[in-house]
Amino acid sequence: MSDNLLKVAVITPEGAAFEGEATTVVVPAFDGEVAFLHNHAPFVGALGAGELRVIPESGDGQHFFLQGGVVRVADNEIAILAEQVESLDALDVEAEQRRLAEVLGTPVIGSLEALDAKQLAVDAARARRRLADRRAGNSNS
Amino acid sequence: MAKPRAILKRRSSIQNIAKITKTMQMIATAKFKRANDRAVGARPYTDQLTALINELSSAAGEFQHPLLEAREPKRVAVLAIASNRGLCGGYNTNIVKKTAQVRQGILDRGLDLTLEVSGKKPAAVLRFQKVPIDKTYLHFEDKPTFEEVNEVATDFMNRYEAGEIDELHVVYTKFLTAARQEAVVEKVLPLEPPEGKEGRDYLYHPDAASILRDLLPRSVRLHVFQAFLDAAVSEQTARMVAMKAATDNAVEMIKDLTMLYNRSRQTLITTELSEIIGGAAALE
Repeated sequence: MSDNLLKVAVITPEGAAFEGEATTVVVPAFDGEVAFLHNHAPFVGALGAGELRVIPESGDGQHFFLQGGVVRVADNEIAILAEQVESLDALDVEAEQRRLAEVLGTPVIGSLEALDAKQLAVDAARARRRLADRRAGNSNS
Repeated sequence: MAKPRAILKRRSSIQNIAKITKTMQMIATAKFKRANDRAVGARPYTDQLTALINELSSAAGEFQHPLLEAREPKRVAVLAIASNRGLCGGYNTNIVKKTAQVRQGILDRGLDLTLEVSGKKPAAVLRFQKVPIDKTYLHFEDKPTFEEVNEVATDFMNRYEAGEIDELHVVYTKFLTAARQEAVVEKVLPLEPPEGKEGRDYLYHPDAASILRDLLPRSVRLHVFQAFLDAAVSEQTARMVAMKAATDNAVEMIKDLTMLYNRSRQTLITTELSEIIGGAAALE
């Protein structure tokens, strides 16, 4: 059943983080998750912080954490450009908790842009913490 | 004629030099492969990002962004990228020369200059030439990571948007082919307006202009990153070539010295023999 597959490429400046085929790809858009299936209309979207799931025909698939970037879908090829892509296995609950506390503790100085930047950083840290938690087997998030 | 023992000593020290340069050449070759893989690995990202920006800019129509805004320049920033280590032929010298040339050009236009240098070697030479340097980066080794470069690039962008600098130029060694690298200067800021290219009829989420606004800083960061990657590859190539030449020269010299040693030893024996023969003849 190779006719309902998407070609997936997760590309970073330091090289391709993933290349392969999948039936479903779920990306973290800036305002929630978006899933792509075969024959999706051409799409370009901004990404937020969160989990990227690449799900093949069978099996569990690949999960990544990414933060910001852009996704482009056309002709059943999906390219995800991100500056920072990490495997979920690299996340550690305690480290992420510390990171979140640190980000929450940084004061906002000056402008509204600084506030926006902090909000983004907090969201990213929350997403990391949540994913780390879930990987560790807790379902309290 | 020189004493054979002295020649022997000299030859063995050159043999040591040859060993060292040969090793350095091999290390540079291994590092070159890795650096080259990284530079090649960044290419798909560059291509996709450029294509997207072009498509988006034609979809977004009239578009304003602080990074695109060219103003009358008053203060120009120059970032020169070379290496922390020497023994790589003309690699650092070329960057220093190019930097001096760019600097002179900017000063001739009557503009202020902020000069930042990455690498111990070019910084030392420029300091010796009494060229004022505003900032030196020494932490970029042969594997510049995106994160490290990101910091530098973001800092420049912030200063650009704050109006502290009006242009950013990067001086680095562009890796053209394995046999050809060239010290070049490229303008990073302000961004060249993207040449709009009619793309597919995409669904945009949220909208083309917002995505473009998010992508432009990325393309600046990428440009700087690419410069660092190219510089790293060029450095290793330059070192490879320089060390190959040094090894060849050392081998040549060992050959000459061996010949000289044999000859001087032979002369010594001949002299001694003729003395003995002369002595014996005198006794008769």
